[in-house]
Amino acid sequence: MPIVIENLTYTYQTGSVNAFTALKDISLTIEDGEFVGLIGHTGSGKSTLIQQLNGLMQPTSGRVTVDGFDMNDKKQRKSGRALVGMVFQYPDYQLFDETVYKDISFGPKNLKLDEAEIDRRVREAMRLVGLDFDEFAEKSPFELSGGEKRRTALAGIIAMYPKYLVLDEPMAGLDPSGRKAVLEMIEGFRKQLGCAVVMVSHSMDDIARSAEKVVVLRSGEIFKMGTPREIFSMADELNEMGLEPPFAARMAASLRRGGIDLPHGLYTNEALVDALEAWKRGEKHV
Amino acid sequence: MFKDITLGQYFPVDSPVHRLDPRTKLILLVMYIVAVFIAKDLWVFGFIIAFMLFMTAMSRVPLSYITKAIKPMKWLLPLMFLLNLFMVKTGTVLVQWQFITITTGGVRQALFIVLRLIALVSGASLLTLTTTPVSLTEGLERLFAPLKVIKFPAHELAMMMTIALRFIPTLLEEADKIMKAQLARGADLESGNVLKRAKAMLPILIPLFVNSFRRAEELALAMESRCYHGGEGRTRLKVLRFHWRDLIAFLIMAALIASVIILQNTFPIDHWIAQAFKNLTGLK
Repeated sequence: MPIVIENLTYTYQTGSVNAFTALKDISLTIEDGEFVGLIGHTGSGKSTLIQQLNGLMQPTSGRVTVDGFDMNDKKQRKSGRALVGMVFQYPDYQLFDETVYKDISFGPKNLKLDEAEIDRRVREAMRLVGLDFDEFAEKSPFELSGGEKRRTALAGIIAMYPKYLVLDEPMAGLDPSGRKAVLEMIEGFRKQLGCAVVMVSHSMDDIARSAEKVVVLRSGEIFKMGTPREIFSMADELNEMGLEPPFAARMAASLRRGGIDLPHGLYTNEALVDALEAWKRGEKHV
Repeated sequence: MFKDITLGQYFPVDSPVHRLDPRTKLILLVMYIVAVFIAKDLWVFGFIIAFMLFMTAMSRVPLSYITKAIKPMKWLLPLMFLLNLFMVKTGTVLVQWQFITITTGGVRQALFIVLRLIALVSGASLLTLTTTPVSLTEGLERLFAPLKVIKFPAHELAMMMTIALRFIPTLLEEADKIMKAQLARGADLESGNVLKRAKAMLPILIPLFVNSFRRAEELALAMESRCYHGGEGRTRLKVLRFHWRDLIAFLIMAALIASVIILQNTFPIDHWIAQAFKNLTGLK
């Protein structure tokens, strides 16, 4: 069963002079196992939207159901929330316990699992995020490097085996190799756990690489929704919104302008390389 | 959850009270507190409250903002009232039933304490409502500046206050984010007894503290890299100056204190009522 958002509207400070409608009439379905990329300009409502997915915020009007659990209902919200794992932008907001091991086990413990299962899950989660158990389990989370902290924060959510994994700019502030590692990790446990992923990112390249469905938000409304191919072929509209299309798409566009005949809908580096090689061999694309 | 906290809230309008020098307002508050404490007749309190209402009207701050400041004392006020009502045993006995004794002195004292608290809190909140935190700390710094000769760190204290006030909204916002992160991990903050709930707050408090320390360190570095080295030789963009309106304000406040003293000595109405009450009932 999917996450279904129906006609969701959210207003901050309803009734006051500062009332601000951050989300307007959003309808969206997140299918099981799907990888959804959420993009939009700063202030377009991305963060507000993902906080509705696990009931941290409730809609002003409209409805969110997670596997049939109505998130407007206080009792059902708890069961729904257990299915949705949420990773925030900064690991510093989440790490608190004495050791990495204890911190990762905080979530599973709240799920009231037994000791053996918690231990198994913590080890599994640490393996999935690439933290060596012997080296890190007994370390304090506060003496880790930025990248290690992020891995620990991710592991803390992974260990809850969420059916839906929601990530708010999981790669913010990481260097290119760190970004790549985290993205590969996310793809890795999506495969292993079979969970759906909703990822907010400012990097179109990351979205282009992994997402199956892309949702573009503009001032609180869904501007466009579709496959990465559909979305990234609208380079002009994206530019206009202040969103930079993926590198490969921009490159293909300028090569095309320079007279190199390339097919449309190129948005990943791999596809661009293939197309260029084909062009070099003198093949005509269809 | 933290949206309702209105600490040190400033109400931005232009009014004669807003335009007063912050030093004037601080001294006026002290004078006002003196007036509140020397009032020893209940009806004189009516006079002080009337003065307070007059000042509020002058400041163009809606009265609801003052009552909002009093609202947090909704448990404290009745408690203080009842404690004084039952504990003070002076004057004529009004009610005597088993171990409960209510005396005229108790009733008077209970009313006094409640009125005093309301008068003090509304006076102090009028100050913060009409003065920006920055000018308030500047006023404090300037008022305490003469004490620098005895090594009183006036500038440092003022700077600390400014920084503390500046970071209150930041901390609240951060607490909200941390709370959400832990709720998303299934933290249960609402059920269980007091001890269990206090323990459940740890996952929120620890990141909050750790981040605050880190931020303090970063702020110190940022200040030092802009050559901050304490108050010595530091000048201000806007220098505080007393105006004629400050003098008028002082005169009005002095008039309040004077009239409180004169009024309660010339017309001790409480005392007259008590006398009349005694004569009527024949109680001692």
